Amino acid sequence: MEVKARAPGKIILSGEHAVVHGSTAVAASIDLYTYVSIQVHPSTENDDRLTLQLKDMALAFSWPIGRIKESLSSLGGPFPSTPTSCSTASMKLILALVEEQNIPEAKISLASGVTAFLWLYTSILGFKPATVVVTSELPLGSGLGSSAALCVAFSAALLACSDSVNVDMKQQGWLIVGESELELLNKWAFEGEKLIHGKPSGIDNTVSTYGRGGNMIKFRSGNLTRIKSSMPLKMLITNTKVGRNTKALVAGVSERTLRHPDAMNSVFNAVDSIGKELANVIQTPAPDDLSLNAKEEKLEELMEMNQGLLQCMGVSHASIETVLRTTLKYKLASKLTGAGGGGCVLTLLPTLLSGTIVDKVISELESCGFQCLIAGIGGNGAEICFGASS
Amino acid sequence: MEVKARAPGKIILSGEHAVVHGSTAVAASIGLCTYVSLQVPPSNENDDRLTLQLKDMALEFSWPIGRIKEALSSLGGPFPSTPTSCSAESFKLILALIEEHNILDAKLSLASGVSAFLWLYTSIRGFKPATVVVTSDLPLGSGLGSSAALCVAFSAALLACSDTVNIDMKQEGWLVFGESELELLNKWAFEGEKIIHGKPSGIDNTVSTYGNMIKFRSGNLTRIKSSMPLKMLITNTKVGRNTKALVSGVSERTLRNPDAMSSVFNAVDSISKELANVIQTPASDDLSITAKEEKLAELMEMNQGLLQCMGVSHASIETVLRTTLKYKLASKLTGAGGGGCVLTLLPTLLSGTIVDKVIAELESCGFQCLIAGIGGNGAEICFSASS
Repeated sequence: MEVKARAPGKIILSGEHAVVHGSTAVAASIDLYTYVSIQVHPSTENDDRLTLQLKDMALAFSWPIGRIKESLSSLGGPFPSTPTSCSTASMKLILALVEEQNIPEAKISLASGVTAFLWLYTSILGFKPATVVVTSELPLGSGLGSSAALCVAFSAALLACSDSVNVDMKQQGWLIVGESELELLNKWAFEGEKLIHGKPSGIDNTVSTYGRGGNMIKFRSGNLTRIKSSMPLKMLITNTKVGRNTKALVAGVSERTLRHPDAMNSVFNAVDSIGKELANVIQTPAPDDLSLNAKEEKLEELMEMNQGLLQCMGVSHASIETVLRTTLKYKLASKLTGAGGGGCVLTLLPTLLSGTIVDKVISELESCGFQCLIAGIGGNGAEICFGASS
Repeated sequence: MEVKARAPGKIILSGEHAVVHGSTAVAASIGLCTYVSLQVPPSNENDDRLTLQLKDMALEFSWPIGRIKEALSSLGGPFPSTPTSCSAESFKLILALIEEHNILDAKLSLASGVSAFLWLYTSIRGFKPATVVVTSDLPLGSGLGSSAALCVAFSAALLACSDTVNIDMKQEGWLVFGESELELLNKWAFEGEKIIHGKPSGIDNTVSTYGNMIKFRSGNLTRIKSSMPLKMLITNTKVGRNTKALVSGVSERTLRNPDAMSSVFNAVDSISKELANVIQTPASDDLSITAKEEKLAELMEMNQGLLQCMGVSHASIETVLRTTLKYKLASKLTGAGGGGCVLTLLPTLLSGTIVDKVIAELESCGFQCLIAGIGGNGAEICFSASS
């Protein structure tokens, strides 16, 4: 039997960086997914290996299930109903298994993802042989929540296999998990994130987990509020492909704050006001085209203002400015999303915008060497699907 | 006898736009001046005309002095010690004199400058013939205070000729007025500005009169003394803009987003106060000068982000920013935005080669580049025998 799961990536609509200093931020899921399929090998088969295939990278990791059991049975799994953090000792054991695989130097950042996989797998499903295949529409490490989507998709597929979720396996198509099970899913995904990120905020996995009931999240000082969007939103997401050091950017803002506490405090207040307003605009119903237009214009203004404030914080970058300059020519509003210093830029695509213009903008951006993706904002969260074995 | 006067232009170091909403702003004079020379014909000469030459534009306005006396004697001048506003009726009379000349449509904006000239001339000096020549380092209407510099230079030259100021005409070189005379000068220049701008803030003429730097907030001006030499690259994008529209755009954004914009204005206020502090604190050595320059650069960069948040930047400004950023130099728009001028701090230890490269790149974009010392002298006059 095959179980598939998909989990969406995410964008920060407003508030990045300032949120670290207490401002409100708003995040939303995007309809670009990471897919995980698990095929547990029936006991009749001779394949006693656990195999992880990262299809987009043409990489595979494989261990005899006995090897894994031998290494990790001391961890006591599986305990699918009890999301547990991976201790330092356990991580060492898992790392040893990962190091047995030859991960090419260029892909060394994958090691933490494989580690998260092994932790989630053995904790939720135990020591059963299986083939796990991963594909994704999300560019890695670009601020779109690819690692959280991976952890959510892993956890969802594993929980579906482990009978810990109450889903009708005979139903066809993509199914949403029930509310209490979403909570369990989110907690496990968070444990995976901790292995990849060290000290994640929890926002990425929460946005990726929850569906229509709260596909946008307003968060401030550790408090997450799920908000329901009342307007369809489409964004152009431009990946500048410029890598950056998130920690350094975050530290840079803190240092600027130490040097200019009053000014930066006001900047964070401004971002807080913008986040609150943005959340309001998104939740207010738009009964007709006219008010939809007005709401889009409001969002554009808020995005433009947030971008100016991010520039004040010092986290913009020449590549981001190039995207801004290009979209501005077509009177479109843009802002960086995430850490800045490169990474991704959001451009609001108004409902009434002609497709010709969108094509023109994209071709100009692509000619700069950027990657363009169009995404619907605030769609579904994690979903699973059952299929007969092929 | 010839009297020369020179008055500097100005830049806003921080706080433009926000200042309208109550934030602190800092302005400084720049080492680019407008020069006015006033030549009184010797009494034996037959020249009985008042002539104004705008040399940079190759334009000349000339009237028989009798014509001017006929039109404007009802105004009651001269009254050099009593700065007076030009009333609506007086303005009409003056305009009539100007309309006698055919000002090309393209130079229509000069009409207000010539009006200011006639008002200041007849109010301070009366109805005596002279030839007045104007030249300037300052591009017009680009936010660098060219009209204020003109009014200050006019007023300074005119007051120097009158008996109202106490100056040793035999002294050589550029001389500064005494404190009370500077006050008189500033008031007259402000009257001239009112004719050109309608409702000027008074900051431009004050900076041009006194020089150095001014911190201002809600109508209160504080003169500050800079303790560090500062050099800026001033890039004129040559993109014209509608200052009124930009100012009201910010007000409209404030009505739509009152909380956020309020915080933005607070941030600008803090930046200006800090900037004023940094500038006034003495720098004892090269190390601390570099530290102060880095501080200023950071404050400029932050102010620029906030101006972008207010919505007054422009593609041309961003082009300048992008270019200077490549060389790790900090820039910010100065004045109304939407085009106009951009300031780039040139650190003391910056190599001349880099400056040349930056200028070459900016000029290839069609921009005009000027290098100026910041916070130098204000209005000055100079006497010489007629040529």
